[in-house]
Amino acid sequence: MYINIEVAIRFLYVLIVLNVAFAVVVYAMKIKNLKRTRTERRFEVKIKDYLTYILIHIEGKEPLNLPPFPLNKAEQKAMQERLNDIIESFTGTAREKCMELCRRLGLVQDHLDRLKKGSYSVKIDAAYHLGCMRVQEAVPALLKLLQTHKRNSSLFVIARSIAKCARDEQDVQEMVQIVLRHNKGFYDLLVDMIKEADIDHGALFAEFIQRESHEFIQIGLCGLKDYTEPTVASTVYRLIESPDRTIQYKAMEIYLKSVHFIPRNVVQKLLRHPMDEVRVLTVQAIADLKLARYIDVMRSALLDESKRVSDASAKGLLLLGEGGIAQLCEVAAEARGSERGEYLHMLIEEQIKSLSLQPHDLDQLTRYNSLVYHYEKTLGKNKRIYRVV
Amino acid sequence: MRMLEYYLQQILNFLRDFLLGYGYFAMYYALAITFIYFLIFALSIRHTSPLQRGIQYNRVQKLSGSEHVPPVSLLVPAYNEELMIKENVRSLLALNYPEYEVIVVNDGSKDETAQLLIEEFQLKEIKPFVSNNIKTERVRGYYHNPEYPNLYFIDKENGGKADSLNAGINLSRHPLISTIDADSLLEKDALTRIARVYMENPEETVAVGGNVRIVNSCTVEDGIVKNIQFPKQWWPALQNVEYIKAFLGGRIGWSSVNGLIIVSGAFGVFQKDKVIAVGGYRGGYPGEDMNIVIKLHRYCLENKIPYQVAFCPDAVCWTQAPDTYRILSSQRMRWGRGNLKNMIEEGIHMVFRPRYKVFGLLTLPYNILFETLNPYFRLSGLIAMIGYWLLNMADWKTVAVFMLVNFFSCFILSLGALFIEEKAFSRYPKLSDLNKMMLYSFLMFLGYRQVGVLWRFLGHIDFFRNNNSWGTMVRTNFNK
Repeated sequence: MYINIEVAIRFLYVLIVLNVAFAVVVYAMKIKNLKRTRTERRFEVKIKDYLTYILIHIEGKEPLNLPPFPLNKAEQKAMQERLNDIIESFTGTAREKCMELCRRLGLVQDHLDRLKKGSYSVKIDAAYHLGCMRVQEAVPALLKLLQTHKRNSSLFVIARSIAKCARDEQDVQEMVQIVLRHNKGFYDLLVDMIKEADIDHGALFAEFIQRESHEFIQIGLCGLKDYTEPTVASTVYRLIESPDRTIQYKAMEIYLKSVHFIPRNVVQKLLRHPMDEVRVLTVQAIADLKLARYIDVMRSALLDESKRVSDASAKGLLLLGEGGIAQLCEVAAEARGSERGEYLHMLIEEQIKSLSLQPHDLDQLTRYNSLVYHYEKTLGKNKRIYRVV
Repeated sequence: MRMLEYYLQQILNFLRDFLLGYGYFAMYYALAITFIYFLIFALSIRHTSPLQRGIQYNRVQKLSGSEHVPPVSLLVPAYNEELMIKENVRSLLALNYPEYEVIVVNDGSKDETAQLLIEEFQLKEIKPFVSNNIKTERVRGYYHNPEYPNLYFIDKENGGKADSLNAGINLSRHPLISTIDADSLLEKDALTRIARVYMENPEETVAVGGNVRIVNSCTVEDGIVKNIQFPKQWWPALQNVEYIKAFLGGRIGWSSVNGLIIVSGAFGVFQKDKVIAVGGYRGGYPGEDMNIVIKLHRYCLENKIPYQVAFCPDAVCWTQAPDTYRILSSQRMRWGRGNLKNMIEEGIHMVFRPRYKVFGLLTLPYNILFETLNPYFRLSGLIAMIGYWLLNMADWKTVAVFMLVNFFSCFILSLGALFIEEKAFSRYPKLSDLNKMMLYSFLMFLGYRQVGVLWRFLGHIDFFRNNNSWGTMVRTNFNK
């Protein structure tokens, strides 16, 4: 067998050198990490009193004093981390005072310089810290960096920094516009970033859903999902008929959460919707809003083809007072023998059992008595299953 | 007599030619496997800096309080887990994550798992809405206690881990599911870290795998790993360096080219609708974690759905590694069987087909040639070595040089994994831990890797004998 052993031996030497070099690098990194940890621990002890001073005076009127000792590069880095944490934990004047302290410590100028002149990784590091310190004058440079950045985790680091530093809605809109070029459906992440901006988020999201662009509408809807003001309901109402299923569903969710009254024609339209999730949400909204005038609609929903809708309307009727409970028992009696009837029967008995365990709650006790009364009346039981004393 | 000599000479000549041919084949095989290893390691190292930036500059603590992270259903299959189930569930209920549910599935345990859980959390039987997207063994009951609104418990007939996961999927309410082994502990922010990766590309990310680390010798308090230590026992220590190499050196690289073939069963997150679309987990055989990922690749590629199987190395799940030869060999034989079954069932239909892109052209050929068939090449290589020695075809110097080349080209990969660990994570705080990692990375070559090949081979024998049992499993407390 022909083997050039000399070549193999030379290759072996190269491998050995590479192995040794790699091992040295790994050990050097470990030692550097250990040294950094030790320095950080020492510095933590050193700045303990100063941090206490900051936390005590952060709400006061006087500006915060600079630390009474000089900081070397590593200490400055550790101090920056602590101040970042404090800025993130506070809002209002306290946050502003801390941001001002960073400025006087020279951290802001330092990172602005790094953002302009540094290598790629230095720029990302600077972008992150400028974002933490909410440095408004960094926005143009950050937007420029974002423009040419490819889609990876760092793109979102820069975008979040822009949101934190944003001077007005315009900056946020520009950031969103750039990030959406890489659109992969990250609307929730964008909304989470936008909420870091010191602007009127609700107004911005409401403005987004007025646009023609699906992406902006999606962001607007994600942003508005936790708003419960009635004005939000009227803003999203037009999207209930959107041809896009996702937009339609999200709009309905927000509408039903924020509305204080649902007109009958809307209730009927929503209960005819092909998605059972929408019908469930509608039935739940009627129950939550205690709209007893829709007992008839809820009664019909009991016989919905989807078991989930039927279950939600049965539970909803229990919350709509005597009338709702009476209708529930009546339908259960009428449908006796069928699968749905048996299911409603079982549900009522389970509710009786569960309510019987909560006699200390007056509302539940009233509901229990009413349910037992109608249950006995319509389903022909002669004796109570559970008694409440 | 002359005739006999002649024939003997002919046979020897044939043997020599055969061994020579085999030698060339083995050399190219070794070169190919080394090339792929180096390629994947290079990709892993290249992606370490972007990963590190993503970890360092995203404030996970803040994200864990956001209402915009996606809700997740955690599925915890449990079979004879009475020793650890309470601690595990308590730790899962205390995660830093805004909206999630924990669904524990008792897979017909023979011990007190079900009873313990019902008593500990005062669970009552409920009749919830359960979809029947995937068929499972009969469910005996669903349990819940409103005082623990995030906890659900399913008690079902024994059907295996995959069947339990499918039962959990049927009950789950959220669009993302996460699979977690009952003998593992999730770090408090692990789910948020995975959610961050998912949120950056929610349309295409069909699965995200977490990083599995070994908990042996670490101190666990209230379900939280407090004092991280390198394992003191031999077997867990060897597995520790093996896991670091596989997860950091391998999976980061594979995920960067969207060629990841496995999301560890111990901890991973999946898009529920895609899992249902591929028919859920395949039951009746080990290796369901690899199988589901292969099916997801296949489904997305065949239907031209843009997709990504990601890996999130900073989302850590701590698991107990087998600490005896018997349990470890049983686990590895099971993995060997699972791998072979997956390659026969799915792999061979996709391998070398351009339609399946990186997965069909790189991941599967690598897996079939260098993982599944590896024991056969190794064992035949050993026999060939004996042949070379008997027929005076190689001298000790040549053998030694090639063994050293093999050793150093593999050891540098271990060093690469340790480099990634130190650069991006540095989870082991002491210098002595690094010394031990170096030592065990070296010791791996003195028997552990060889016996690993043997276990895989025995696993294949089990496969051909139709033995598809789970094998030996012994559970102990975390703070053992």
